[in-house]
Amino acid sequence: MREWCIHRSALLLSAALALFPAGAGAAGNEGVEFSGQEYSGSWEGVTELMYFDVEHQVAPAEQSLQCADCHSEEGRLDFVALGYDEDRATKLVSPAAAALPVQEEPEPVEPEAEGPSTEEAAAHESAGAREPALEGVADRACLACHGSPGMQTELPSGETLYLSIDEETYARSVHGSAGYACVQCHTDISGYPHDPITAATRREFVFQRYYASCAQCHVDMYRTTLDSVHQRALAAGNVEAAVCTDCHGSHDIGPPDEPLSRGSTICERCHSAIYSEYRDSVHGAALIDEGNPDVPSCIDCHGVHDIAGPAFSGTFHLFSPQICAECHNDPALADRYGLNADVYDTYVADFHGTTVLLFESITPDQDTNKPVCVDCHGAHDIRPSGDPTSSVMKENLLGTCQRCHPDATTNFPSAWLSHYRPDAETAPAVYFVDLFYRILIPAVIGGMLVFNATGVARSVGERLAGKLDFKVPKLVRSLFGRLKRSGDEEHE
Amino acid sequence: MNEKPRRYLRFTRSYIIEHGLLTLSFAFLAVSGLAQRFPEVLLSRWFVGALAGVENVRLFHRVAAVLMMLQAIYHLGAAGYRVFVLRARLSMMPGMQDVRAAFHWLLYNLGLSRSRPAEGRYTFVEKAEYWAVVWGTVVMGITGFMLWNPIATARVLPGEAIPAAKAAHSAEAVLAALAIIVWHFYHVHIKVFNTSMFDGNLTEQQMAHEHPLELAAIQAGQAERPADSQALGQRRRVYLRVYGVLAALMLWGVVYFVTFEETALATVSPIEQAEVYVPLTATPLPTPLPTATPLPDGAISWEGGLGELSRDRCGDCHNSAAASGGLDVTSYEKTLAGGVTGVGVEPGDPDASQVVVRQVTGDHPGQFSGDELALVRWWIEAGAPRE
Repeated sequence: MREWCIHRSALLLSAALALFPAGAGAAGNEGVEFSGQEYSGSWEGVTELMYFDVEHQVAPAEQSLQCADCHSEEGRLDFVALGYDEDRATKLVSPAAAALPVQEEPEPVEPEAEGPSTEEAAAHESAGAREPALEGVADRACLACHGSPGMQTELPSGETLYLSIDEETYARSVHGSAGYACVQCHTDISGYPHDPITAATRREFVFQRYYASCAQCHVDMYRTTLDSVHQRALAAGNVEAAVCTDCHGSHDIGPPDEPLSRGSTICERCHSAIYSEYRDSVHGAALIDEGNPDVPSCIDCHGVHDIAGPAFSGTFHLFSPQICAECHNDPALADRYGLNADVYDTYVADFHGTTVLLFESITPDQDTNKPVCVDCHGAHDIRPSGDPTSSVMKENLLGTCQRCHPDATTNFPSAWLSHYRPDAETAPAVYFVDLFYRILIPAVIGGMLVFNATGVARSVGERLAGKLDFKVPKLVRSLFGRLKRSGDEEHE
Repeated sequence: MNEKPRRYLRFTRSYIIEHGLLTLSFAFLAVSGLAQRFPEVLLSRWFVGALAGVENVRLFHRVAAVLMMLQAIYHLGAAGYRVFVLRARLSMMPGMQDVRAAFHWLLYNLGLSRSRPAEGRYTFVEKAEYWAVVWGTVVMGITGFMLWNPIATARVLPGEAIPAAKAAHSAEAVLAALAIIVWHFYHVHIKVFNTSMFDGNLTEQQMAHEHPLELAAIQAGQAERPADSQALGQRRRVYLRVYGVLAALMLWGVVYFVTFEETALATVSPIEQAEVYVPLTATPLPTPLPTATPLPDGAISWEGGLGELSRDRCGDCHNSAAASGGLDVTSYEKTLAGGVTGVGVEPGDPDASQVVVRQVTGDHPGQFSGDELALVRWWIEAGAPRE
């Protein structure tokens, strides 16, 4: 599904030659002599295909070797020592080799199509994609057949596989306009007749090709997708889970963010029920009707290639308040739309938010049953404030509370201060309790500290000067005389 | 004279057990509560992490709260026993003498008085602490009940009472913890390390220093009231029955407190339940329908359709400019002439014509359909007429 192949026989044979200068035949002779087996004396190479996952079966994928770790000037493999001649070894460490590992020499077929210019290539690099190797098959040769309309074949499943390409559509796409040739993606095609199609269904056909084609240049994007809910669904056997081409298209790939609302409509193709909820929400309406760039589209909350959601990642729910806080904790944005910028801080200060905060920092791999933002406000169907159907409108709040607190009654929702800091008007009881303790604590503790300080002063003074006996000024004596007397009397 | 200084019993085992229970429950309540009060502090996170999560912290906080309630019930019983059965003096009652003692201590500490204040069994420092604990226990018990049972609270009080209770509970916790550190630690651990709460005794010198009035009373024989054993036994029987009933009621109260309500469901379905995978109607790839070149009917000739078919099917490569393989199908003559592999069309002999030969092997990029190839053969067999 997503493998590149290496002609292993070439590697094995070269290694044998390097180890046994007398040749592989002599190596065989030595081997049978050593092991005491019979040997016909003749040998031949067997072509074996070795399949690698692009991550070299290393998990996590970030730690796997990259192509260029071997196939580059600084690479760890010494191809000359492996038996390649100088010319071949140079090719194996060229930038093209790093983009595409060991390949068969392409059949030289009319190298007419020109690759992208150096400037284009540089721009491409900065967009995070590697430059694909250009094999020498001209698009014209492909379009001779695939350019004619109506070309199709039937798959064993009975589905139709369309084989025609609209040349103009491709020319307008990001790849076509940059001059990429058909065979730079369709790397399995190097001549005619093509290898027979082995896929039984159209979906299978896509799986056989998409990663090998996209991942050879867009390695980082590909690796990011490995952490996505789509990849997990795929691994769990759901063949409908989206792969590169399902979102980006194939021959008609355009910039994904133009217009702004396009991203959401891409998601709509598979998630139409959620989209229709989002479409009517305060966020969705602003994005789709007004093109407002401040509101989140699908990917702003769920991510782009490492798409996350509650279904396959348990921590998505737990950490979702951070997503909301990115905008709703921003005073500038809150000011622009007349929103309360304290929503996150007041949430964290409350029982629910404190719990979530502690789960996030102490047990980030466990979800909590305490509500996060979406549990009260809704996720895709968040309503504008003032909408009578909003789940957090005063009239609807009890019902929202009762989802978790089924026995709650009329007064219960007002236990929640609606994200406002308590003041004398909105929450006088809380405000005055706070005020009471703001006075009581310093008064009591301060009084204790002052009293203790005099005790410390006395014992320190006693230790320093032996028995303390100093004259107290007359005025002070007369002021405290009465108290002192009464104390002394009590003692006596 | 006796070599060994006389020791005075200050606290019986009952007091020591009570103090131990109180220390244990208070310390745990304070730490586990303050960790929730200040969740962003590193020390809080360390503590919550040590208990493997805030849910465990809450569980232990409530276990410690129950322990403190049990201790309070025991304390009421023990204090009542001392008052009603032993008829002990109400030595913990605060009075004006404590206010005077406090001022006197201030003056003494400042050097304004030469004499130390003389105090009885409980000094003003101890009384202040005792009644602070009583006050704190009552406040924390009431607000704790409200936080433990918020739904029941909201049935009788406005909802705002719950955040107000939370504000009081956490502020009172800060006050209590600070008071223990500032007042208790200073007076019994730092100023002097008073071990009487562990071994129960004070020396005569300590008694004279800290509790001179009590010492004087003991030495005058006033402290120990002559016990009328018969009357004592009678009082004890009555008291234990009354307290037994009260304690049972209070224990029932604790159970009631703990199991009053089920505040929240443990698991709740998400507020929004949408079917995740709901694809729009599958749209086939935008491929135009097949547009087969209409086969000419009637007379088959180059001009009558074969030329157009050839240009359409082969002209992409085999045109005047590219002439792939040397073949150019844009004119009748050039088509017949063919390319590098041989004669393009040998009139009358399709199998000698390269346009057919290259097609039947099936490996030419770009293929006639079966009908089209049959037509081409037919045309060649008919002598490949131009018109």
